Amino acid sequence: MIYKVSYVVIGGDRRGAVINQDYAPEVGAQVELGDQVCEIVEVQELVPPMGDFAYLHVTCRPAAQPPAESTASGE
Amino acid sequence: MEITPSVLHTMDLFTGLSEEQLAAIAKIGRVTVYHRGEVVVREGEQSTAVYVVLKGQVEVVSELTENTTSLVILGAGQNFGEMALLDAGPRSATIRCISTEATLLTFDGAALMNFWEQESKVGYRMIFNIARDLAFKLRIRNLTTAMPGEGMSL
Repeated sequence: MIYKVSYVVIGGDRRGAVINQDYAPEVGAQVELGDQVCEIVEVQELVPPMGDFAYLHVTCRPAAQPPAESTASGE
Repeated sequence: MEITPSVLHTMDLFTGLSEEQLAAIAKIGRVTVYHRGEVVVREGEQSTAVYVVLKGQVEVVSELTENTTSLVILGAGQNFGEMALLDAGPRSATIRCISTEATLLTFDGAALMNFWEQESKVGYRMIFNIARDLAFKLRIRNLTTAMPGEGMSL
């Protein structure tokens, strides 16, 4: 399954991101959005899956510390 | 970076296409690597090229006002430039690379339209995928607009 994820950042510099990834985002995990590290606080399905794609909306907030391991940096 | 059907399979622009169709579409694309800070598309420019992020991240920036506004980051699998392909208008935002490197698959707009004319089933599917992506972005915009003072713009 490919997860098309919309990340919305609460607070911080107010940037969000859209990224395709091959794993589901989870609450509490950290994600790198540009130069910002964020912690996921909510995951919701935006629309039903279609084919191999799931469409998710994730709310996150700036993390207090760097991630322990790489997540969705896209690099 | 080699563009194989398995790579394109993870990009929603190409969902629903067969391996043969993916191989054919890959032949009319061009892979370009951008480095941090490089501008891919400039707001106001006339161009109909369509881009897909294969690797890395780019930032969508509005320069409509004196203050540059960061709208959203696009990572792997995301496409941009399709608005100008559809309506022939100027670029609505500036896109720049914000990761160490970003690898993009670029399609010349005219070449893509020609391909769709010749391969109408591929054209139908890709236009459908573009419409679905725009609907996804509109839903996100609606959600974030309902969050006063929070969220992102798309």
